[in-house]
Formats: sequence, structure tokens, C-alpha cells
Amino acid sequence: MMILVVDDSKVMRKLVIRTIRQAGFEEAEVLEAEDGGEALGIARTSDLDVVLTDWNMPNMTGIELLNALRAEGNMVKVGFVTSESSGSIRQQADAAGASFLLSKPIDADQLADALNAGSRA
Amino acid sequence: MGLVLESRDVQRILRKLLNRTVKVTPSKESPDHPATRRALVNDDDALVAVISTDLAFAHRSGAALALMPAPMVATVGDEPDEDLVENYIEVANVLSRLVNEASRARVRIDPGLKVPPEQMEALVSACGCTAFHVDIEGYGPGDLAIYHG
Repeated sequence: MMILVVDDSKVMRKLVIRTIRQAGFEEAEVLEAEDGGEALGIARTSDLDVVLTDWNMPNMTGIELLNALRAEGNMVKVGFVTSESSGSIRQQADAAGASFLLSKPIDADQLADALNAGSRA
Repeated sequence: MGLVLESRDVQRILRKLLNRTVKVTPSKESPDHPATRRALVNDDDALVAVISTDLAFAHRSGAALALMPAPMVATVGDEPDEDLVENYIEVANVLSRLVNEASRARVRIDPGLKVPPEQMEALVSACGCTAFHVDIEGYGPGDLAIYHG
């Protein structure tokens, strides 16, 4: 499995990657990007299985990334890991085709459930 | 805004984020180190609240988030450590959920640091705060506050 973790915070990327490992995906190849723009570039050249992205980021936000991916015909599974938790944000994520939205802080069980459900979908 | 912020909610969020025991109790302190101040803004980028802490909480929570050895924090001293404060900002970002949950408004840490420091200063000076004393297992105590109208 190849997972792209997108967050403008280095420490949050490390935390998400640590949680991915704890969730049972020790063998997953994990790539990192600092914002949506960098992530879009990686997605164009990599065979990603999942994108885990923050919502609020400079240059290109998480929802803009998801919309850009879909506009290019890239149907990679995208999940949000964000401090956002309002109903309107969840609706936006659903409408754009996100597989899940997890509100920070997350734990390994939550992430495992989300990634496993994403793999089956 | 009349926010009701509870110790148990702070504790729930910090325990899960830092993956360790955290004890949170209400406090009458008003911790406010300028390096730790961050604006919470709404969808119109209008200032809603300010989160601020003492340097001890910023350093200790930032270290705990990154799993840095606790003894390293003790050597930091009385000046803000850039890396630890940067990590703490992520803690503050996650703690913004408290305001979201209490007010059902969508707020977030001012992403572009657009709110002028004077505006934050005015809110901190004029408004009350809800403050908490926080003890992070293995790292030690500190204080945090959310200033709101």
C-alpha cells in the first residue's frame, strides 16, 4: 500500500505516520507533502492507494486538492485528518468524494477502521 | 460569546493527542506568553477568541507531541524555543475544537497570521479567559487559557 500524508506541519505528518504504523500498516510505503500543490504533483507520478490530508493548508487546501485530483480523473481514495469537525465541513468532504474525515486527535483504531474500509470500498 | 469550556474536554483531547496521561483542572491563572498567542478566527477571518499559554505548557506539550525526551525540555530555559513552540501551535490547533464544540461555530487557528497582534492584545486585555492547569505525564505542568468575549 502506498499512502501520501499531506500536512503543512512536520510534527503532525510524523504523528500521522506513527499512527499509520500503529494501525497495522507497518509495511506501507508512506510519502509526505507539505501542501495540496506538492501532493498533486506527487499524485501525478505515483501509484497512490490513499491520500491522508489536512484541511487547512497554505497554497492549496485539502478540499482543493481533492477537487483537483477528481478534475484530473484521479480517483485515489482521499481521507481527511483535520482539526475541523463541523457538519458543514463533513458535508463538503462527502460532496467532493472523500472516503472519510477523521477529526484530530486520532488514534490507531480509528485510522485502521478508516483505512480498511477505504481499501474495501 | 459565553463559551462554557470544561476541564474534562481539554483532558480528553490532550490525552488522545499526546497519547499519555494528562491531568487538567480549572485554574484562576491567566497565562499569556506572547510567543504562544494564536488567534481563533471564523469563516470570515474575524477574531473569535485567543488561545494562549505559559511557556512551560507550550514547551512541554510541544515536546510531548513530538515524543522528544523530557529532559531536553528542562534545558530550554526561559526563552521560547522555536521548534517546541511550532509543535505547540499544532496542539493549539487541535484544541480549537473546544471552541467549535462549545459554540457550534466553525473556528480555526488564523492560518495566515492575518489578525494584528494589537487586536489579539485588545481581546486578551478586555475579555475574560477560561484557564486550565495541565500536568502532562512525564513532562510536567503548565497553564493554558482561552480568552473569549
